[in-house]
Amino acid sequence: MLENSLSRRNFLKASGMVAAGGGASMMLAGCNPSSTDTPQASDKKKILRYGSANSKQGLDMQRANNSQSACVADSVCESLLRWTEDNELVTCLLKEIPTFESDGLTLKCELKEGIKFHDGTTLTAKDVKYTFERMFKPETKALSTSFFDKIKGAPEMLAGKATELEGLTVQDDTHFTFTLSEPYIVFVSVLGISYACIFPEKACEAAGANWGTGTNLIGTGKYKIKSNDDTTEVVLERFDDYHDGKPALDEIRIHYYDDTNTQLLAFKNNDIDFCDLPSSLYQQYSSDADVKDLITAYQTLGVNFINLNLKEGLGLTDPKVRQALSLAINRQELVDNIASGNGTVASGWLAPATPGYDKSAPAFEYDPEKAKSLLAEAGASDLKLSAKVRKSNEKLLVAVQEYWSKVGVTLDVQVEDNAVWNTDWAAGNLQITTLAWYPLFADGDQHLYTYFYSTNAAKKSSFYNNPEFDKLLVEGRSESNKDKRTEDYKDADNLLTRTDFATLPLYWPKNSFVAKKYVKNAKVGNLIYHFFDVDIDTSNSDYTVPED
Amino acid sequence: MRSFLIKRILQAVSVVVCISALTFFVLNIVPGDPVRVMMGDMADEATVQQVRHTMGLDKPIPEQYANWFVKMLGGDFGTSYTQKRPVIALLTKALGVTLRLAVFAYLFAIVFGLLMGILAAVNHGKWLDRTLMSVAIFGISAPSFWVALVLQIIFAMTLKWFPLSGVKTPSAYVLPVIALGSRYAASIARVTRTSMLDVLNQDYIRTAEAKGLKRSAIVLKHALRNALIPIITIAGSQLGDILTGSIIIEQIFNMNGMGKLLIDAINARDLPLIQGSVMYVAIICVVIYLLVDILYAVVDPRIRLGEEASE
Repeated sequence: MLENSLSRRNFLKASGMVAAGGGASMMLAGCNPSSTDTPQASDKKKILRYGSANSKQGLDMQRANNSQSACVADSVCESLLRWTEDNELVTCLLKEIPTFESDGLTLKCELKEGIKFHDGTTLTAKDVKYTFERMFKPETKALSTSFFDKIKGAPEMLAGKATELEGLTVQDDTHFTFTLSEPYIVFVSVLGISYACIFPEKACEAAGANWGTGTNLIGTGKYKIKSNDDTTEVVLERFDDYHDGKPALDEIRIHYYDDTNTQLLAFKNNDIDFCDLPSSLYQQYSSDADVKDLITAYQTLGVNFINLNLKEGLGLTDPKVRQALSLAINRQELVDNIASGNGTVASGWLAPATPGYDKSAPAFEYDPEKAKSLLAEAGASDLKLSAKVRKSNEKLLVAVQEYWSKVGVTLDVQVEDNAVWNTDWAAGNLQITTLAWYPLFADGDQHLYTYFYSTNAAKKSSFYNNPEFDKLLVEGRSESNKDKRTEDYKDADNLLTRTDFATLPLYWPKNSFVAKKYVKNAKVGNLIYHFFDVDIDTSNSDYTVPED
Repeated sequence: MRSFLIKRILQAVSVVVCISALTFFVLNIVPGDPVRVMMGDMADEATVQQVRHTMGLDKPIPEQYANWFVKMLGGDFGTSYTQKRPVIALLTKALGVTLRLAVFAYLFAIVFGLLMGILAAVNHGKWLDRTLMSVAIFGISAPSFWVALVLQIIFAMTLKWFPLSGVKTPSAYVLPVIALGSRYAASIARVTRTSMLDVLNQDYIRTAEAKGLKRSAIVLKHALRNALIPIITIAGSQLGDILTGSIIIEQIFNMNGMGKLLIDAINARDLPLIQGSVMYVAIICVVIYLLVDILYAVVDPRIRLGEEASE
């Protein structure tokens, strides 16, 4: 048998076939015809090719919790309200932004009339009720129920003790009412996030566990799913019955790239028109002649900070020590060297676009001499600290290690795998760490309460516990006066970062994307790439209609 | 031969069962909470606990293992924590990509490796030998990610002969196949050359030459068969490597194969998916080594007879 298979004739035949196969592939690939007909600019189809990582969580935003899924899902499905790229809350499926009744618990809502889902059915209040009830059913395994669990009856549904959501009643096809279990003014804002997308009851039920995979996602959005293989590409096409004007693009092709280098090479190679530029590649591409003029940086709502563990016995309970650690850091140098200039030195926790941001607060000072004297005053001149970070934050903390060593503080830095770090962080085991914290929308409660309210801080290796701070946050949750609420958050931020020095905000990061010159209105609000307003300038000579 | 086969197959089955138990318990000891990784930094504690409960991760580990093992016997490897789809469906999909890539890379490696090795051996000491072996040393030394990037820049971005990445068209496989297969081709070439040179210096080859047999018949019929044992050993172990070690190539060429699936699963502590992928890798390796052992016995009867005689 072996002799036969290795006879010279067979051997040469096999080699020849490989060579011929390779040659044929090369010829096929090399002879890809480009379009010979050049249509007029106005006749050209507008096809946007966007490159993105694949979260692999699917597109059902009740069961996915990442910005890559939201980028696709938000073009297909819509929430009752919508956060714009300029961080403004606007109406979407609702006629107007609702306000709470005087009891602070009742929220009456009215849907716009005649809104169609992609399958031709009309959106009704029953779909809204169905969507929220689905979220709280244990079998859905929804990941973001905490944003909505103030709806009366939600905890009972989550525990499997109820099958109906008591706090959501339908009056007729367009009117429904939310009733909360406690005052929570932020609830109106969360109606605009991706996790509150409204699904059509019949189609969603029919798809069952497959909802959000393949073409099993139907919404009221500007674009509907044409094809989706879940791993390499999703193609969206315009929805002509969209309720709020004609979609600008004919098609959006989302190509998934797991390797950011390959994604950027694809952008350079004109395989895609628009994609994120990760900070790790910013320096390389900002000096690339083909790409540098196509980069846009945008301010996010997040903050990069050093988390201090304030638990007794870890050497960080004295505010003077924490202030000294803050004074020892040259934040501007960190922005220039670690973030390649993509950031603004922080003057507090809340970024400029967030209500509660204190315009009058100066950027955190850099004064190593003052830091040394504060440490001496606190009797901590020979402080030894230990930090654990994820690989992505190692560089930042090694820079901080250097600053702190200049004031006599020894910092041991260890890198941990993401999963291990996450477990240690939640268990309160990290003395020092660094991370970035991004709110889902521009709101002080979203940004401060989620991390530093005493019960949350205990689960994030912070253990900050100041009753005055907690009180301000609780008041903010029920305060309907916008200005008063903003003041509450401003006071809370100052208490946290300037009086208690409970955490050390470093800088507000800027992120970047690259887009070809013919891509119009490319804009990112808060990490999620939306295509609401994106258009293509077909008259630009660089634009050619991509092949199928 | 039958008892040899039965013994080898029983060994293979017991190895697979041991690996399944070992993997499950080791994965559950390794630090890192899959629910926290899945939910990200922003998750609140109450939701984390609630999701852990709905996923059955708050049950005792032996109970989780028993449930998993019973289901596995029925072909159900569970549902991925992160992707929320059956592990078997994800494995099957990824396996298609990896198999195509691995099979073509392997064929590329075998064909070019053997060809280069034989040509170098029969032209021992001549310019062709030196050139081919220089190419082989370069192939072994060049890291596959570097070869991949060079191929991308030259053939995809500059000449535009092949797609930069993806698996949409057959031509998309050309660059990853070369990038993955070149290293293996180079090492097969070197082993083939050495092994062939040993055999070509044997007395029976000189006898065949003296009897006036054609040079091609001597090389391909008499020398190659006797030189095959070390080549089969290296080619066998390479098949396992290619099937399980194409992660970097899959990443660079954006191919969603097994390697990528496994790395994503490990990073996310997606235990059912890791378990399923590890079982896949284990089964592949065990089956390949079983086949290599059988092939040894077919090619060299002394191995089979030696085992039987020692019983």
